[in-house]
Amino acid sequence: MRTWVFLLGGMVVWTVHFFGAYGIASIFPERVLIAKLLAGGLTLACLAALAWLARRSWAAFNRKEDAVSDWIALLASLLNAVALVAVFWQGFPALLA
Amino acid sequence: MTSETGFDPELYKRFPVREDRPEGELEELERLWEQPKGWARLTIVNNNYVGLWYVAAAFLFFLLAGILALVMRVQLALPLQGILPQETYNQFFTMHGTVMMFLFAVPMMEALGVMLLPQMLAARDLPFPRLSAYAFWAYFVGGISFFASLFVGLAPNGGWFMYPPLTGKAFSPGINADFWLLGIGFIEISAIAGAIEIIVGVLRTRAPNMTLDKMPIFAWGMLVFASMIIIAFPAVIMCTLFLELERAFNWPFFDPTRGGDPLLWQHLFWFFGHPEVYIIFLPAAALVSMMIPALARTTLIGHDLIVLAFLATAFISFGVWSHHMFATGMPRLSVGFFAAASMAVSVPAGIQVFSWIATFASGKPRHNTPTLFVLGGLVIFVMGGLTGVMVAMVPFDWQVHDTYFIVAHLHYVLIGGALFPVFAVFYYWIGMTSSRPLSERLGKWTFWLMFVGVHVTFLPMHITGFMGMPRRVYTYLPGGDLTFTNFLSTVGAFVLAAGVLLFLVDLARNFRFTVNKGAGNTYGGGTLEWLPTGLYSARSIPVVKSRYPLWDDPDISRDVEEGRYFLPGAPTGNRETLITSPVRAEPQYVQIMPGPSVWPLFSAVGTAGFFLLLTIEAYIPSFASGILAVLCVLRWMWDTDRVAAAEEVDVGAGIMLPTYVTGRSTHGWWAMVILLIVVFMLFLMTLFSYLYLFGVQPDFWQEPPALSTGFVALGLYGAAAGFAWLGRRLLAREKSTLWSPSTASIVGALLLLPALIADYWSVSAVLDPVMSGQGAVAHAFLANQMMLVLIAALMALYLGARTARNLVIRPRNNTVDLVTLFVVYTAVQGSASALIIRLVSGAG
Amino acid sequence: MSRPISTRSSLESVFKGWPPPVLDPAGPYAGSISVLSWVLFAMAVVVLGVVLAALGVALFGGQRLKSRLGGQAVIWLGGIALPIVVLTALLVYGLSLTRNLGTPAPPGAMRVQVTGEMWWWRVAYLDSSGKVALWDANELHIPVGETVVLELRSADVIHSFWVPRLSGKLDMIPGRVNLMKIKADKPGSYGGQCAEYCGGPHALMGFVVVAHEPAEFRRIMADRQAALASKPPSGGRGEQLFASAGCAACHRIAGTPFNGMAGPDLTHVGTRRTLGAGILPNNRGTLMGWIGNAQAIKPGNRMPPYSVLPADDIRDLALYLEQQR
Repeated sequence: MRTWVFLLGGMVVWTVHFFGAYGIASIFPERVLIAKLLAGGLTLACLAALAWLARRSWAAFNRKEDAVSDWIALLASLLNAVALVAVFWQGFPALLA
Repeated sequence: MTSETGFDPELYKRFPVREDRPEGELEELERLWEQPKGWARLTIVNNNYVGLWYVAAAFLFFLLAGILALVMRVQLALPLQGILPQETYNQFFTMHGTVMMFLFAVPMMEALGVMLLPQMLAARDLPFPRLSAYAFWAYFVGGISFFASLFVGLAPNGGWFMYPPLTGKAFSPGINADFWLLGIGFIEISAIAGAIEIIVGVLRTRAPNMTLDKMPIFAWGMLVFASMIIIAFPAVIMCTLFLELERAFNWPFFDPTRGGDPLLWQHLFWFFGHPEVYIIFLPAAALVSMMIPALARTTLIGHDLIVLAFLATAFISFGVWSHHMFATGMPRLSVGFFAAASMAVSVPAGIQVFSWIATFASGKPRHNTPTLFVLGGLVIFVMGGLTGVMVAMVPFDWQVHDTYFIVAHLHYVLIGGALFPVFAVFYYWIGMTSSRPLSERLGKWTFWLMFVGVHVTFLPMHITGFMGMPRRVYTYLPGGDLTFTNFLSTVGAFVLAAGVLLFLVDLARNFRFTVNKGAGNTYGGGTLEWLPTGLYSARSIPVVKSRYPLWDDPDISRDVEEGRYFLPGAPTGNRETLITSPVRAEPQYVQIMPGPSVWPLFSAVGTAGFFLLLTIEAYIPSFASGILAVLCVLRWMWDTDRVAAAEEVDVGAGIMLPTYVTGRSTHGWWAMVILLIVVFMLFLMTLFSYLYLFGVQPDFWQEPPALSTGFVALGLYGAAAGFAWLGRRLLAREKSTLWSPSTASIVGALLLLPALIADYWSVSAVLDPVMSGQGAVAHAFLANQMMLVLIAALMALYLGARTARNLVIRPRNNTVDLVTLFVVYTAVQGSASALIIRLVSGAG
Repeated sequence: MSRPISTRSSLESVFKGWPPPVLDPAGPYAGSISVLSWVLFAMAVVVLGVVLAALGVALFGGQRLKSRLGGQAVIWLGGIALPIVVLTALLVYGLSLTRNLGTPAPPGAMRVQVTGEMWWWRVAYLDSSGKVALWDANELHIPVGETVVLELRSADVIHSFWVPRLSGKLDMIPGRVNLMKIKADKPGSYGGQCAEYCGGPHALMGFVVVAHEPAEFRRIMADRQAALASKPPSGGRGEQLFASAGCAACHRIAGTPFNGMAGPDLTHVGTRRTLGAGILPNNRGTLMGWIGNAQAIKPGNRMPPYSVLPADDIRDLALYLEQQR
């Protein structure tokens, strides 16, 4: 279980961010400014969480334990990077929409 | 070296063992795995057979749906033609989409999984062979009956996404829509059964030391595929159930005049519907990633990045459902979030495309039929992907949404992303199941006809859409230039069909079924499915040391065949396979597998009968059929969960593994947990619907029953969970053969019923399911719960019967474990729904 | 690129050759999407070119080129960096365009309620207080150069309102009102069609938006207002037949006792460019054909066939309707 959480943590943060943002937009369909501020704040929080996760997984990768652990750490790092880009994009509507 | 289970990896060094295996061991293995002959073949549950039937059935549905498409193309070749009357045309396009998606694409991927996965993982079979057989039969019987509705003019005609209110009782009074709702809902159940099987198979039956980093890409693809089914399909099951309840009992889930909302359907449907596209694409892409290394004679470049792409897609594809709803007038901010996610989801696809190109560049590609299909599919898929990026741009989508541009886009994606890969698969893997390979000469003709046909058919459709032709029109008006592009599309469709026809000729001439005398590894693949196999799959299960074991260890095939690896015989005297740990694939125990049985077939027919008879409103035969199905399932379960004679057996090189294990590490526990995730998703979808209607229809929201009215139900649920837990504890302590542990478990299971009744009593006093959307969803919570409570009651009876026959193994027992898990979950979910119904209050 | 207004042009504006309507905008709301379409096309062609070139090298290239392509770097470059750059640019463009298109209409803009019904369109021009001023069906008149707000509704199932030369489409959903803005830069008639499958003859559910010079538009509307006053019965045979055949059960003609609201309003049917919801040109022959057997022309629509009526009666009815201008 810990392995999977470590591996997929970044994508879980993406999920929290996406559904959080969707929820915010649905709860405040009229009050666009409030929704945008909340979504923006959520985006920053998630980006920070992802940065922390990415650092952690990268450090785990550099620890060079054995082939399997290293591979999982590498994949976790890559997934954290993907999540970072996706959450970053997901923040655009708060600025532009 | 770290270990996951305490297994010492040093032990792997004992393999391959030097000593020869004893005489007669192979014969014993062959005898155990021998398949019935004649009519008894229908009782076969082995994946070599069931997998092939499954593939064949899915391909049959592809042909049938393809014929529908051809007739539609004839109708649309020229304006205002009368070849297909309006009503028939509407049934045809609905069936074409539905059959291609639900009866061809998803089952085909599942079928290929059943057929190829055990071989690739070097397992003897999938962990639940009878469940595979059940999934196949349910799908086949259900699918054929569903398709037959077309011949009596009762086929659904509301389009494959069945938007209410058009599909509600008022505008679709006939039983056509019910065929769709019940037929598809039921086929989804079969898909979920298959998905559970695949997840447990990939995570728990891999060959020893096939750690996650060495796992073949197809196993990753199927793992993600099946997990996505587990998350996505409950949404479509829930919305079909809602619509059926609205049609049958007038519960207004989608009726805006009574506090429902037609868009609720669209949210639920597309929460399933968009991931569905990736559910189809990922396994096909995974198969391409398996074939390219062999076809280009090199290792896959970017293996890790492809795994990354799969995992990222698995998540992000659940954030794009509303891009099918850009034209519904959603709030701008939400639209933006979906547009951004739609962009993000295309990055993983790009990774895969470039990884394939890089692999071709680094190797020496051969000019043969599977290579052509892989390359052709790649080009077609890229074109579909690019139009996909275009429609993710919201304003552009406002123009092309629901036009032929979209028809072109989705066919490019699915044909390039799934159909061409499947044809490549046919050519590449046919040697596993046929004694003769398919013809290269005919194959190349097939490819070129299909490739040209696809472009001539679908390229002009982009323009047809730009010219203003909407989807799903049975005709169009003359006097413009629509005729030209439409005529071209019709010509192309026949070229494509000619290619498929040629493939059938090839198949008829060259396909000769065999399990153990296949034409073999025609293209020189390096993965375990090309080990020499018999009915029992590989004679012994090798220790995996790399991603391409056959390339890296030239002796592996001989050593495997001579039984120099794990499980060379049948130490318990049964069919069996090795259960390994999920991350590092360390051997954990020997699973005893069931053999041929008629019960999966009977229960599948019973299940199909239940749903289909329900459609035609034959209630009594329907329920009789349902009860028959339940009895058959229980009968098939009865043989399972038995102990073998020996507690531990030698699985090779003196390594001893247990034959009976209980608790969280068992494959049964895993399957139950996955099943409970499905159930939880059903609950989550109901919760979403409740909150959604609360948000969009506040005027219809009534004050719910007071919180205090739920206390009785909560107390009873708590007691139920407590008794169930107590039963398991008592069993673990009990030395004698007393009834007390089972009695506690049974009391726990049965207490769920009064809890549910108490909840229903106070909810129905305030909320009426017919009056408002709120009432309808509140009762949907209860209906959901009722289903679980009934299953728990059945489990209680079953446990009672097993206790009576003294089949409950002590001190720990899988049957009791699973009953406990299920009852506790049911109690928790019941409490949660009781609270939610009472706490979502309009006044607050 | 302006097209002459004729009774057939409404059909032709949907079903004509190049440029297709989506790329031949007649107003600002469709115009910016047409620009976007070209940008997206260019993007798609360039990316497809890159992929095909890479594939060509991978298959047929020289050993040096191939070995450069055959590594992880290519995936990072082509599969990750390239999409991220392209998609970021597109996302910014798309979101800003969505925002610009979504700005509310100027206050005091003309409002029209358009209701999708199985399988035609009910049109109601609203006055400044939001009350229905005039009824019409399957045809919408607008002034050139002004933004018009459409309140899109549905009376039964989901439909979708789409005039490709004026705007993207927007669904008409029971229980909701969706607002759409349209604006035409030049006079002309612009065809449209229902874009959401709505059962039966969905394929034959078209309509026309006619844009007039503002002065001309105001004259037409004023004439129509004047026609609302009750007029004396003409006493013609067609009028009697209209009553006796039961036409008035579903159809309304303002200023007469005929007041059915189930079907399209026929007050100005004589001026319409099309019949049967955008599918036939409007002339005496098509009118007679439609009255006699609308089911043969548009199977499944709600108008029963009147083939029991003798040909003379049908002709007189058609004459009467022609006069409703």
